Amino acid sequence: MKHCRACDVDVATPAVLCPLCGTPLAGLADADCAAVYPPAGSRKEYNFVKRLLLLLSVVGAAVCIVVNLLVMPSFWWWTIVVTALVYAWAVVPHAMRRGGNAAGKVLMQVVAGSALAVLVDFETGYRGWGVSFVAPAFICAGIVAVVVLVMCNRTNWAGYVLYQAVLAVFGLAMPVLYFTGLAHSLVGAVVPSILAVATLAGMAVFGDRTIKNEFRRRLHF
Amino acid sequence: MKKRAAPTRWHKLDNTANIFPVVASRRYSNVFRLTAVMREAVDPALLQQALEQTLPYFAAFNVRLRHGLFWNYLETNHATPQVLPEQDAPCRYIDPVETGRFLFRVLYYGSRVHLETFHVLTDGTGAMQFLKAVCYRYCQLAHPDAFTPEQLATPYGTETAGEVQDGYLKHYVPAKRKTFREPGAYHLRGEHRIAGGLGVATALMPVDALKAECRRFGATVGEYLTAAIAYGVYEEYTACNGAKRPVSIFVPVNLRPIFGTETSLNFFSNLTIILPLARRAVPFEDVMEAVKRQFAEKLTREEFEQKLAFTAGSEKNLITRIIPLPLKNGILRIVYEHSNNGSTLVFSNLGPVRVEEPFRRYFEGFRFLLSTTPREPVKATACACGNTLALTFTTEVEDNRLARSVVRRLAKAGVPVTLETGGDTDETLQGV
Repeated sequence: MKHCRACDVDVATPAVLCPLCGTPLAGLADADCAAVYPPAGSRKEYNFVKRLLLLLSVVGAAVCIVVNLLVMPSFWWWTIVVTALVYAWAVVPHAMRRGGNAAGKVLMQVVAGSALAVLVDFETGYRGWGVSFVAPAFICAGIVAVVVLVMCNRTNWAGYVLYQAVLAVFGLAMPVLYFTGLAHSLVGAVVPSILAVATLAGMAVFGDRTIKNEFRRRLHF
Repeated sequence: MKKRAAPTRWHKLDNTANIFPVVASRRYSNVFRLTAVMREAVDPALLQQALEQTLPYFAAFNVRLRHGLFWNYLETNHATPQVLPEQDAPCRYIDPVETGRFLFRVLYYGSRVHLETFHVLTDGTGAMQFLKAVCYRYCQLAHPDAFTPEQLATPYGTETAGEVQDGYLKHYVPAKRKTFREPGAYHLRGEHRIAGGLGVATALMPVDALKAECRRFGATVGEYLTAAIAYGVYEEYTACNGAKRPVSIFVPVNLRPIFGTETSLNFFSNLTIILPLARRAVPFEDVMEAVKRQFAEKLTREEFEQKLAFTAGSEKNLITRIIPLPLKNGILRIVYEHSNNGSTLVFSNLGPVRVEEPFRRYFEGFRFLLSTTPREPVKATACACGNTLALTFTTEVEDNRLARSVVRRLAKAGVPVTLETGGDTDETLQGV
């Protein structure tokens, strides 16, 4: 076995220099001397496209701000551009991520999409279209999308029910917004709440012990 | 017939495990590796069979992580895990998408079987039990003639595997709350390894020679090695740069024997040995005495009961419980960042690993590796099997000064040391 005189240790794995102090090793390696770990490889991840898009986003936003302030300082439309970019960078990676619950992704899109609409509405002089029309539309689309998911993957639909229930709660919140005067579209209040009631009823009717257990797991505190 | 979902069991995360899903990432993998060194090359097909046959006995491992509205939880995983040849650096982050949602991986390389476990599942003691059970089954499959029919039919090493109770909550006694804020510790720094990944240096030594050296100081093996490591930090780092902060060694402690509970989930706590060493010349004997004194003070059931009261109490608090998970994650992350300052490095001593009699001839030994973090770029572990103790240093920085200091101390004391290293590129091995 090879030996380091400076450290006074035997070295069992293949090496020319002492792994601890770098002194050349004395002696010959044993016949059965083999590496016990594979050689280290470089495992560097470098996503060029993503970095390029990030650079373009930053440069694009900067150009928009400058042009906006030079040409039309009375109306700050650059805030809309920046909001949209932040939205894209926050939400698109979440949707593209491998794995993850599909219904969870739908819920994320509904929340982020509605938030984007309300923000843009706010930035363009608040007229309430975000809360009254866009958010209800997103919620309806979300509920329908999760119903489709449930029908496509009936064996394991328990995994989707929590997200479906959260979407239903959002749907039921729409009439509340309408009656408190925050939203002003009756259709936007009624349609999501009907869909929400229908989904909750569907869950109660078709759900069995699996669904009950899923709720127990997901809601335990 | 209508297709139905397979029945699914679930359990809550144990008290310590709650932190790991929040902070785990590529930089803080919170993965540890246990290695069984067998006497002959591993047959992957048989290892796969052994894993598939053993996993159902281990409720703590056969799970995937799911998110509830208030807490994460672990639920039966109906997929089949695959054993893989070892190709990457040890203790790499476990991405559930890559592993079929399992939170562990079983790898092989030559005659070695590795079990890499995400800390959310269990601690070293729990994982060692699983690794041993898989290897026992592997031995039964690889050498069917060497065992009696009765031995072949027995699933060895699975006695307490079904116990998925939370020891922390079981032994929770509401006590006067005491916070366990440790003073900020000195942190090791260094250039990052060019080869990337984790550098590994394992010093193998005979237990009897080491015990003879420990007896000179009237110390246990754990106390002696802790002192040697602390002194190594002093000698190699703080003495020369005049750091003011104390050298703190975080020593995980297995609570199972202390509280008499068998569980296959996490059940450990820690004691922190704090040594204000910097800027003065100290002989090793003084450090040894301080370490012994602190072990005697801190390694008591009362001390751990208080710690349990603090950590389990926080989990039982109604306000903590009703905060939605995403918000809880944010708070936990901040708490973790604050609490992460209190130790220079971790020294985890798994103690002697016992192998059941019929299988002893197939095992050469065990190794134990911890993943590092930017704040603790070097970590040390020890585990013994038979008369061999394996003291392992894992590092994400280029130099091996700490390992060198400890190994030279042992060699000078007359303990014969054999070194086994890994994580180098081919170029560095050739000395280029």
